Amino acid sequence: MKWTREPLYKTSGWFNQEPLTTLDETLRFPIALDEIFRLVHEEYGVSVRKEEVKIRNGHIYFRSFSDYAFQIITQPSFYPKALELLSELGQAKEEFGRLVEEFLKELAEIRRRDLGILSNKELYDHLLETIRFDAHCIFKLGGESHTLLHYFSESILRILYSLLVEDPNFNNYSELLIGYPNKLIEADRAFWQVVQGELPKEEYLSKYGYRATDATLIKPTVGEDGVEFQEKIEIFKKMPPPDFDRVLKLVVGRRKEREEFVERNFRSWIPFGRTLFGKTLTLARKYTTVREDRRFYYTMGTYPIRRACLEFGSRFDFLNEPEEVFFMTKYELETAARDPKIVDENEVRKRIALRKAKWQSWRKQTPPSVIEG
Amino acid sequence: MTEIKGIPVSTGKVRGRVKVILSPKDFSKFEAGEILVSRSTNPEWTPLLAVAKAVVTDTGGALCHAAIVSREYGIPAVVGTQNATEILKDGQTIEVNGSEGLIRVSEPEVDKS
Repeated sequence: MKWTREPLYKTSGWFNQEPLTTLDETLRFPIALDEIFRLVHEEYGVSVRKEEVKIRNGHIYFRSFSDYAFQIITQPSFYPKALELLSELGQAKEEFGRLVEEFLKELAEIRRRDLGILSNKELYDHLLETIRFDAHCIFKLGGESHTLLHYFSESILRILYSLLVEDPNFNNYSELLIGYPNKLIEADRAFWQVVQGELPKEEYLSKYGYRATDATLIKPTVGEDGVEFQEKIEIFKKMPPPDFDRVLKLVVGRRKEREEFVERNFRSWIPFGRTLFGKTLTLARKYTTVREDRRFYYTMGTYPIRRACLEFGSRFDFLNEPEEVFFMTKYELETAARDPKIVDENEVRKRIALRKAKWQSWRKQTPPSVIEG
Repeated sequence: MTEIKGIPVSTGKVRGRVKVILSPKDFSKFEAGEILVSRSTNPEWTPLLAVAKAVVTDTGGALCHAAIVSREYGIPAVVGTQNATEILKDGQTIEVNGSEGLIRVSEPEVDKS
Protein backbone atom coordinates (compact mmCIF):
# COMPACT_ATOMS: atom_id res chain seq x y z
CA MET A 1 0.00 0.00 0.00
CA LYS A 2 1.21 3.51 -0.85
CA TRP A 3 1.27 6.37 1.62
CA THR A 4 1.81 9.97 0.65
CA ARG A 5 2.61 13.39 2.10
CA GLU A 6 1.00 15.03 -0.93
CA PRO A 7 -2.12 16.39 0.89
CA LEU A 8 0.19 18.17 3.34
CA TYR A 9 2.50 19.49 0.62
CA LYS A 10 -0.44 20.88 -1.32
CA THR A 11 -2.39 22.62 1.41
CA SER A 12 -0.09 23.17 4.36
CA GLY A 13 3.49 22.76 3.23
CA TRP A 14 4.68 24.29 6.49
CA PHE A 15 2.86 21.79 8.69
CA ASN A 16 5.05 18.88 9.86
CA GLN A 17 8.31 20.25 8.44
CA GLU A 18 9.94 19.26 11.72
CA PRO A 19 9.44 15.60 12.69
CA LEU A 20 7.01 14.77 15.47
CA THR A 21 8.52 13.87 18.84
CA THR A 22 7.76 10.79 20.97
CA LEU A 23 5.09 12.62 22.97
CA ASP A 24 3.47 14.01 19.80
CA GLU A 25 3.34 10.53 18.37
CA THR A 26 2.20 8.57 21.41
CA LEU A 27 -0.03 11.06 23.21
CA ARG A 28 -1.15 14.12 21.33
CA PHE A 29 -1.59 12.69 17.86
CA PRO A 30 -3.62 9.55 18.81
CA ILE A 31 -5.92 11.48 21.15
CA ALA A 32 -6.44 14.26 18.61
CA LEU A 33 -7.15 11.74 15.84
CA ASP A 34 -9.65 9.87 18.02
CA GLU A 35 -11.47 13.12 18.73
CA ILE A 36 -11.45 14.23 15.08
CA PHE A 37 -12.68 10.83 13.83
CA ARG A 38 -15.38 10.83 16.50
CA LEU A 39 -16.56 14.21 15.22
CA VAL A 40 -16.37 13.06 11.59
CA HIS A 41 -18.68 10.22 12.55
CA GLU A 42 -21.02 12.56 14.42
CA GLU A 43 -21.09 15.17 11.66
CA TYR A 44 -20.98 13.08 8.50
CA GLY A 45 -22.22 9.71 9.71
CA VAL A 46 -19.13 7.88 8.47
CA SER A 47 -16.43 5.91 10.23
CA VAL A 48 -12.74 6.46 9.56
CA ARG A 49 -10.16 4.11 11.03
CA LYS A 50 -7.12 5.37 12.89
CA GLU A 51 -4.95 3.23 10.61
CA GLU A 52 -5.74 5.61 7.76
CA VAL A 53 -2.90 7.83 8.86
CA LYS A 54 0.69 6.71 9.28
CA ILE A 55 3.69 8.27 11.00
CA ARG A 56 7.17 7.31 9.89
CA ASN A 57 10.30 8.90 11.31
CA GLY A 58 8.16 11.67 12.74
CA HIS A 59 6.48 12.50 9.44
CA ILE A 60 2.78 12.14 8.73
CA TYR A 61 1.56 10.16 5.73
CA PHE A 62 -1.91 9.71 4.29
CA ARG A 63 -3.58 7.48 1.76
CA SER A 64 -4.68 9.17 -1.44
CA PHE A 65 -7.73 11.45 -1.27
CA SER A 66 -9.61 9.15 -3.65
CA ASP A 67 -9.20 6.28 -1.14
CA TYR A 68 -10.77 8.41 1.59
CA ALA A 69 -13.51 9.65 -0.74
CA PHE A 70 -14.31 6.05 -1.76
CA GLN A 71 -14.45 5.03 1.89
CA ILE A 72 -16.93 7.83 2.59
CA ILE A 73 -19.26 7.40 -0.38
CA THR A 74 -19.54 3.65 0.18
CA GLN A 75 -21.03 4.18 3.64
CA PRO A 76 -24.83 4.57 3.26
CA SER A 77 -25.05 6.50 6.54
CA PHE A 78 -23.26 9.39 4.81
CA TYR A 79 -26.19 10.38 2.58
CA PRO A 80 -28.82 11.49 5.12
CA LYS A 81 -26.12 13.48 6.96
CA ALA A 82 -24.98 15.10 3.71
CA LEU A 83 -28.54 16.28 3.03
CA GLU A 84 -28.75 17.65 6.57
CA LEU A 85 -25.50 19.52 6.02
CA LEU A 86 -26.67 21.05 2.76
CA SER A 87 -29.66 22.55 4.53
CA GLU A 88 -27.30 24.25 7.00
CA LEU A 89 -25.04 25.84 4.41
CA GLY A 90 -26.99 29.10 4.31
CA GLN A 91 -25.96 29.93 7.87
CA ALA A 92 -22.39 28.67 7.56
CA LYS A 93 -20.64 32.04 7.75
CA GLU A 94 -22.59 33.12 10.83
CA GLU A 95 -21.90 29.71 12.35
CA PHE A 96 -18.17 30.20 11.76
CA GLY A 97 -18.29 33.57 13.54
CA ARG A 98 -20.07 31.98 16.48
CA LEU A 99 -17.54 29.13 16.66
CA VAL A 100 -14.60 31.54 16.61
CA GLU A 101 -16.11 33.56 19.42
CA GLU A 102 -16.65 30.43 21.54
CA PHE A 103 -13.19 29.12 20.71
CA LEU A 104 -11.43 32.35 21.71
CA LYS A 105 -13.39 32.57 24.94
CA GLU A 106 -12.53 29.02 25.97
CA LEU A 107 -8.93 29.40 24.85
CA ALA A 108 -8.52 32.51 27.00
CA GLU A 109 -9.86 30.58 30.00
CA ILE A 110 -7.45 27.70 29.43
CA ARG A 111 -4.54 30.11 29.11
CA ARG A 112 -5.49 31.91 32.30
CA ARG A 113 -5.49 28.70 34.34
CA ASP A 114 -2.67 28.56 36.90
CA LEU A 115 -1.07 25.20 36.19
CA GLY A 116 1.33 25.51 39.11
CA ILE A 117 -1.41 24.82 41.66
CA LEU A 118 -2.66 21.64 39.98
CA SER A 119 -1.67 18.20 41.31
CA ASN A 120 0.01 15.86 38.84
CA LYS A 121 -3.23 14.02 38.30
CA GLU A 122 -5.15 17.24 37.73
CA LEU A 123 -2.45 18.47 35.39
CA TYR A 124 -2.58 15.23 33.38
CA ASP A 125 -6.37 15.49 33.07
CA HIS A 126 -5.98 19.12 32.03
CA LEU A 127 -3.46 18.08 29.36
CA LEU A 128 -5.82 15.48 27.90
CA GLU A 129 -8.73 17.92 27.95
CA THR A 130 -6.65 20.57 26.19
CA ILE A 131 -5.59 18.13 23.47
CA ARG A 132 -9.24 17.21 22.91
CA PHE A 133 -10.25 20.87 22.91
CA ASP A 134 -7.62 21.66 20.26
CA ALA A 135 -8.70 18.72 18.08
CA HIS A 136 -12.32 19.73 18.48
CA CYS A 137 -11.52 23.26 17.31
CA ILE A 138 -9.45 22.04 14.36
CA PHE A 139 -12.40 19.99 13.22
CA LYS A 140 -15.05 22.61 13.93
CA LEU A 141 -13.09 25.44 12.31
CA GLY A 142 -11.71 23.35 9.47
CA GLY A 143 -14.07 20.48 8.75
CA GLU A 144 -17.57 21.84 9.26
CA SER A 145 -20.07 22.98 6.66
CA HIS A 146 -18.53 26.46 6.28
CA THR A 147 -15.29 24.84 5.15
CA LEU A 148 -17.09 22.62 2.70
CA LEU A 149 -18.89 25.64 1.38
CA HIS A 150 -15.70 27.51 0.59
CA TYR A 151 -14.21 24.51 -1.22
CA PHE A 152 -17.49 23.93 -2.99
CA SER A 153 -18.12 27.55 -4.02
CA GLU A 154 -14.54 28.19 -5.13
CA SER A 155 -14.34 24.95 -7.12
CA ILE A 156 -17.64 25.69 -8.88
CA LEU A 157 -16.49 29.26 -9.58
CA ARG A 158 -13.32 27.92 -11.16
CA ILE A 159 -15.27 25.56 -13.41
CA LEU A 160 -17.80 28.25 -14.36
CA TYR A 161 -14.99 30.71 -15.14
CA SER A 162 -13.39 28.22 -17.54
CA LEU A 163 -16.74 27.55 -19.23
CA LEU A 164 -18.28 31.00 -19.31
CA VAL A 165 -15.38 33.44 -19.63
CA GLU A 166 -13.31 33.79 -22.78
CA ASP A 167 -9.92 33.50 -21.06
CA PRO A 168 -7.26 30.94 -22.01
CA ASN A 169 -5.94 31.06 -18.44
CA PHE A 170 -8.74 30.06 -16.12
CA ASN A 171 -6.49 30.42 -13.06
CA ASN A 172 -7.28 34.11 -13.38
CA TYR A 173 -10.57 33.39 -11.64
CA SER A 174 -8.63 33.79 -8.37
CA GLU A 175 -8.32 37.54 -9.03
CA LEU A 176 -12.05 37.80 -8.44
CA LEU A 177 -11.47 36.72 -4.84
CA ILE A 178 -8.63 39.02 -3.80
CA GLY A 179 -8.68 42.24 -1.79
CA TYR A 180 -10.50 40.86 1.24
CA PRO A 181 -7.93 41.22 4.04
CA ASN A 182 -7.83 38.32 6.47
CA LYS A 183 -6.38 37.62 9.90
CA LEU A 184 -2.96 36.67 8.49
CA ILE A 185 -2.63 40.07 6.85
CA GLU A 186 -3.95 41.78 9.99
CA ALA A 187 -1.19 40.04 12.01
CA ASP A 188 1.45 41.10 9.47
CA ARG A 189 0.34 44.66 9.58
CA ALA A 190 0.53 44.61 13.36
CA PHE A 191 4.03 43.09 13.20
CA TRP A 192 5.24 45.91 10.95
CA GLN A 193 3.74 48.39 13.40
CA VAL A 194 5.89 46.77 16.11
CA VAL A 195 8.93 47.06 13.84
CA GLN A 196 8.24 50.77 13.36
CA GLY A 197 7.65 51.31 17.08
CA GLU A 198 3.96 52.11 16.60
CA LEU A 199 2.66 49.13 18.57
CA PRO A 200 3.99 47.70 21.86
CA LYS A 201 5.60 44.31 21.37
CA GLU A 202 3.57 42.81 24.23
CA GLU A 203 0.30 43.86 22.64
CA TYR A 204 1.27 42.17 19.38
CA LEU A 205 2.42 39.00 21.13
CA SER A 206 -0.68 38.59 23.27
CA LYS A 207 -2.91 38.85 20.20
CA TYR A 208 -0.89 37.13 17.50
CA GLY A 209 2.23 35.66 19.05
CA TYR A 210 1.06 32.30 20.37
CA ARG A 211 0.35 30.52 17.09
CA ALA A 212 1.98 27.23 16.18
CA THR A 213 4.28 27.27 13.19
CA ASP A 214 4.58 23.51 12.94
CA ALA A 215 2.73 20.38 14.01
CA THR A 216 5.19 19.34 16.69
CA LEU A 217 4.78 20.47 20.27
CA ILE A 218 8.52 20.95 20.71
CA LYS A 219 8.64 24.07 18.56
CA PRO A 220 8.04 27.17 20.70
CA THR A 221 5.69 29.87 19.49
CA VAL A 222 7.03 33.33 18.72
CA GLY A 223 5.52 34.68 21.93
CA GLU A 224 7.53 32.27 24.08
CA ASP A 225 10.90 33.03 22.56
CA GLY A 226 11.49 36.68 23.34
CA VAL A 227 15.08 36.72 22.08
CA GLU A 228 14.19 35.31 18.67
CA PHE A 229 11.31 37.74 18.32
CA GLN A 230 13.55 40.70 19.13
CA GLU A 231 16.11 39.46 16.57
CA LYS A 232 13.36 39.27 13.99
CA ILE A 233 12.31 42.84 14.74
CA GLU A 234 15.93 43.99 14.25
CA ILE A 235 16.13 42.23 10.88
CA PHE A 236 12.95 43.84 9.62
CA LYS A 237 13.99 47.27 10.89
CA LYS A 238 16.59 47.27 8.09
CA MET A 239 13.89 46.83 5.42
CA PRO A 240 11.62 49.56 4.08
CA PRO A 241 8.15 49.03 5.61
CA PRO A 242 5.43 48.00 3.18
CA ASP A 243 2.62 50.43 2.48
CA PHE A 244 -0.34 48.19 3.30
CA ASP A 245 -2.98 50.74 2.25
CA ARG A 246 -1.37 51.15 -1.17
CA VAL A 247 -1.10 47.37 -1.58
CA LEU A 248 -4.76 46.87 -0.66
CA LYS A 249 -5.80 49.59 -3.11
CA LEU A 250 -3.71 47.95 -5.81
CA VAL A 251 -5.18 44.52 -5.14
CA VAL A 252 -8.75 45.83 -5.08
CA GLY A 253 -7.97 47.63 -8.36
CA ARG A 254 -6.76 44.36 -9.83
CA ARG A 255 -9.97 42.64 -8.75
CA LYS A 256 -12.04 45.39 -10.41
CA GLU A 257 -10.01 45.03 -13.61
CA ARG A 258 -10.75 41.30 -13.58
CA GLU A 259 -14.45 42.00 -13.05
CA GLU A 260 -14.42 44.30 -16.09
CA PHE A 261 -12.53 41.66 -18.07
CA VAL A 262 -15.19 39.09 -17.17
CA GLU A 263 -17.90 41.52 -18.19
CA ARG A 264 -16.27 42.10 -21.58
CA ASN A 265 -15.48 38.46 -22.26
CA PHE A 266 -18.52 36.69 -20.91
CA ARG A 267 -20.03 34.04 -23.14
CA SER A 268 -23.50 35.44 -22.65
CA TRP A 269 -25.17 33.05 -25.09
CA ILE A 270 -25.21 30.32 -22.44
CA PRO A 271 -28.67 30.37 -20.77
CA PHE A 272 -28.67 31.39 -17.11
CA GLY A 273 -24.87 31.58 -17.23
CA ARG A 274 -24.65 35.11 -15.91
CA THR A 275 -27.05 34.47 -13.02
CA LEU A 276 -25.29 31.26 -12.06
CA PHE A 277 -21.86 32.88 -12.27
CA GLY A 278 -22.97 35.92 -10.25
CA LYS A 279 -24.52 33.81 -7.50
CA THR A 280 -21.49 31.54 -7.23
CA LEU A 281 -19.14 34.53 -7.13
CA THR A 282 -21.12 36.16 -4.33
CA LEU A 283 -21.02 32.93 -2.33
CA ALA A 284 -17.29 32.35 -2.94
CA ARG A 285 -16.51 35.93 -1.87
CA LYS A 286 -18.57 35.57 1.27
CA TYR A 287 -16.39 32.62 2.28
CA THR A 288 -12.99 33.90 1.15
CA THR A 289 -12.13 35.34 4.53
CA VAL A 290 -13.49 32.24 6.31
CA ARG A 291 -11.12 30.09 4.28
CA GLU A 292 -8.17 32.14 5.31
CA ASP A 293 -9.11 33.09 8.86
CA ARG A 294 -9.66 29.51 10.01
CA ARG A 295 -5.95 28.78 9.49
CA PHE A 296 -5.14 31.66 11.77
CA TYR A 297 -7.37 30.37 14.54
CA TYR A 298 -6.55 26.74 14.51
CA THR A 299 -2.87 27.31 15.02
CA MET A 300 -3.70 28.84 18.41
CA GLY A 301 -4.64 25.64 20.25
CA THR A 302 -1.14 24.15 20.33
CA TYR A 303 0.39 26.57 22.82
CA PRO A 304 -1.79 25.57 25.83
CA ILE A 305 -0.90 21.90 25.21
CA ARG A 306 2.77 22.79 25.07
CA ARG A 307 2.44 24.77 28.26
CA ALA A 308 0.92 21.83 30.16
CA CYS A 309 3.67 19.48 28.88
CA LEU A 310 6.39 21.92 29.95
CA GLU A 311 4.81 22.20 33.38
CA PHE A 312 5.30 18.44 33.72
CA GLY A 313 8.82 18.85 32.35
CA SER A 314 9.69 21.31 35.10
CA ARG A 315 8.30 18.95 37.77
CA PHE A 316 10.26 15.85 36.76
CA ASP A 317 13.70 15.98 38.37
CA PHE A 318 14.99 13.16 36.19
CA LEU A 319 14.87 15.38 33.10
CA ASN A 320 17.91 17.50 32.19
CA GLU A 321 15.62 20.24 30.90
CA PRO A 322 11.81 20.65 30.77
CA GLU A 323 11.82 20.24 26.94
CA GLU A 324 12.90 16.61 27.37
CA VAL A 325 9.32 15.85 28.34
CA PHE A 326 8.57 15.80 24.59
CA PHE A 327 10.71 12.67 24.31
CA MET A 328 8.74 10.69 26.89
CA THR A 329 6.03 8.26 25.83
CA LYS A 330 2.42 8.59 26.90
CA TYR A 331 2.92 5.59 29.22
CA GLU A 332 6.03 7.09 30.84
CA LEU A 333 4.31 10.44 31.35
CA GLU A 334 1.24 8.78 32.81
CA THR A 335 3.36 6.69 35.18
CA ALA A 336 5.51 9.63 36.27
CA ALA A 337 2.41 11.78 36.77
CA ARG A 338 0.89 9.09 38.98
CA ASP A 339 4.00 8.68 41.11
CA PRO A 340 7.38 10.12 40.04
CA LYS A 341 9.11 7.85 42.61
CA ILE A 342 8.32 4.64 40.71
CA VAL A 343 10.13 5.89 37.61
CA ASP A 344 13.44 4.16 36.92
CA GLU A 345 15.28 7.45 36.37
CA ASN A 346 18.41 6.04 34.74
CA GLU A 347 16.43 3.87 32.40
CA VAL A 348 14.13 6.75 31.32
CA ARG A 349 17.09 9.11 30.89
CA LYS A 350 18.82 6.58 28.63
CA ARG A 351 15.71 6.09 26.52
CA ILE A 352 15.13 9.84 26.22
CA ALA A 353 18.72 10.39 25.06
CA LEU A 354 18.30 7.71 22.40
CA ARG A 355 15.00 9.11 21.14
CA LYS A 356 16.37 12.63 21.08
CA ALA A 357 19.36 11.52 18.99
CA LYS A 358 17.07 9.70 16.58
CA TRP A 359 14.81 12.75 16.28
CA GLN A 360 17.82 14.99 15.60
CA SER A 361 18.86 12.66 12.77
CA TRP A 362 15.32 12.74 11.28
CA ARG A 363 15.47 16.53 11.29
CA LYS A 364 18.42 16.44 8.93
CA GLN A 365 16.66 14.19 6.42
CA THR A 366 14.11 15.18 3.80
CA PRO A 367 11.20 12.76 4.20
CA PRO A 368 10.24 10.86 1.03
CA SER A 369 6.94 12.11 -0.38
CA VAL A 370 5.67 8.56 -0.93
CA ILE A 371 6.33 5.41 1.10
CA GLU A 372 5.18 1.78 0.88
CA GLY A 373 3.98 -0.26 3.78
CA MET B 1 17.33 29.09 -20.84
CA THR B 2 16.25 27.03 -17.82
CA GLU B 3 12.54 26.78 -17.16
CA ILE B 4 10.94 25.56 -13.95
CA LYS B 5 7.28 24.64 -13.84
CA GLY B 6 5.01 24.87 -10.85
CA ILE B 7 1.44 25.65 -9.89
CA PRO B 8 0.30 29.20 -10.73
CA VAL B 9 -1.38 30.59 -7.63
CA SER B 10 -1.09 34.36 -7.82
CA THR B 11 -1.19 36.08 -11.17
CA GLY B 12 1.25 38.60 -12.63
CA LYS B 13 4.70 38.54 -14.22
CA VAL B 14 7.86 40.11 -12.79
CA ARG B 15 11.62 39.91 -13.20
CA GLY B 16 13.90 40.12 -10.24
CA ARG B 17 16.81 38.80 -8.22
CA VAL B 18 16.61 35.44 -6.45
CA LYS B 19 17.14 34.96 -2.73
CA VAL B 20 16.83 31.42 -1.43
CA ILE B 21 15.65 31.41 2.17
CA LEU B 22 15.47 28.01 3.83
CA SER B 23 14.61 28.98 7.39
CA PRO B 24 13.72 32.06 9.45
CA LYS B 25 17.37 32.15 10.49
CA ASP B 26 18.18 33.36 6.95
CA PHE B 27 15.69 36.25 7.01
CA SER B 28 18.50 38.76 7.52
CA LYS B 29 19.90 37.85 4.08
CA PHE B 30 16.73 38.99 2.36
CA GLU B 31 16.47 42.44 0.83
CA ALA B 32 13.18 44.12 0.03
CA GLY B 33 12.27 43.73 -3.65
CA GLU B 34 13.99 40.37 -4.12
CA ILE B 35 12.22 37.21 -5.23
CA LEU B 36 11.71 34.86 -2.30
CA VAL B 37 12.53 31.23 -3.11
CA SER B 38 11.81 28.75 -0.29
CA ARG B 39 10.72 25.20 0.42
CA SER B 40 7.46 26.46 1.91
CA THR B 41 6.27 29.37 4.01
CA ASN B 42 4.35 29.51 7.27
CA PRO B 43 2.74 32.29 9.33
CA GLU B 44 6.20 33.23 10.65
CA TRP B 45 7.22 34.18 7.12
CA THR B 46 4.41 36.52 6.11
CA PRO B 47 6.16 39.80 7.01
CA LEU B 48 8.78 38.80 4.43
CA LEU B 49 6.15 38.25 1.77
CA ALA B 50 5.00 41.81 2.33
CA VAL B 51 8.30 43.14 0.94
CA ALA B 52 9.05 40.42 -1.65
CA LYS B 53 8.63 40.99 -5.37
CA ALA B 54 7.40 37.44 -6.02
CA VAL B 55 7.35 34.05 -4.31
CA VAL B 56 8.48 30.62 -5.53
CA THR B 57 8.19 27.51 -3.34
CA ASP B 58 9.05 23.81 -3.66
CA THR B 59 5.83 22.57 -2.07
CA GLY B 60 2.25 23.80 -1.89
CA GLY B 61 -0.93 24.08 -3.90
CA ALA B 62 -3.66 26.60 -4.67
CA LEU B 63 -4.70 26.89 -1.03
CA CYS B 64 -1.33 26.82 0.69
CA HIS B 65 -0.10 29.62 2.91
CA ALA B 66 2.21 31.21 0.30
CA ALA B 67 -0.62 31.24 -2.26
CA ILE B 68 -3.15 32.88 0.03
CA VAL B 69 -0.83 35.58 1.29
CA SER B 70 0.81 36.44 -2.02
CA ARG B 71 -2.61 36.89 -3.64
CA GLU B 72 -3.52 39.42 -0.95
CA TYR B 73 -0.19 41.21 -1.44
CA GLY B 74 -0.71 41.28 -5.20
CA ILE B 75 2.62 39.60 -5.96
CA PRO B 76 3.08 36.74 -8.45
CA ALA B 77 3.56 33.30 -6.92
CA VAL B 78 4.41 29.87 -8.25
CA VAL B 79 4.28 26.98 -5.79
CA GLY B 80 4.84 23.21 -5.92
CA THR B 81 7.92 23.44 -8.16
CA GLN B 82 9.45 20.44 -6.32
CA ASN B 83 13.04 21.66 -6.53
CA ALA B 84 13.29 25.42 -7.14
CA THR B 85 15.42 25.83 -4.01
CA GLU B 86 17.97 23.42 -5.48
CA ILE B 87 18.00 24.83 -9.01
CA LEU B 88 17.88 28.55 -8.30
CA LYS B 89 20.84 30.36 -6.74
CA ASP B 90 21.12 33.65 -4.89
CA GLY B 91 21.63 36.62 -7.18
CA GLN B 92 20.27 35.02 -10.37
CA THR B 93 17.79 37.08 -12.35
CA ILE B 94 14.58 35.21 -13.05
CA GLU B 95 11.16 35.89 -14.46
CA VAL B 96 8.24 34.63 -12.40
CA ASN B 97 5.02 34.16 -14.31
CA GLY B 98 2.34 33.61 -11.68
CA SER B 99 -0.38 33.28 -14.28
CA GLU B 100 1.21 30.34 -16.09
CA GLY B 101 3.24 28.80 -13.28
CA LEU B 102 6.55 29.30 -15.07
CA ILE B 103 9.93 30.48 -13.86
CA ARG B 104 12.50 31.43 -16.48
CA VAL B 105 16.13 31.77 -15.50
CA SER B 106 17.57 34.44 -17.71
CA GLU B 107 20.95 34.90 -16.13
CA PRO B 108 23.54 32.39 -15.01
CA GLU B 109 24.42 32.07 -11.37
CA VAL B 110 26.26 35.08 -10.02
CA ASP B 111 29.70 34.38 -8.69
CA LYS B 112 29.76 36.24 -5.40
CA SER B 113 33.41 35.68 -4.62
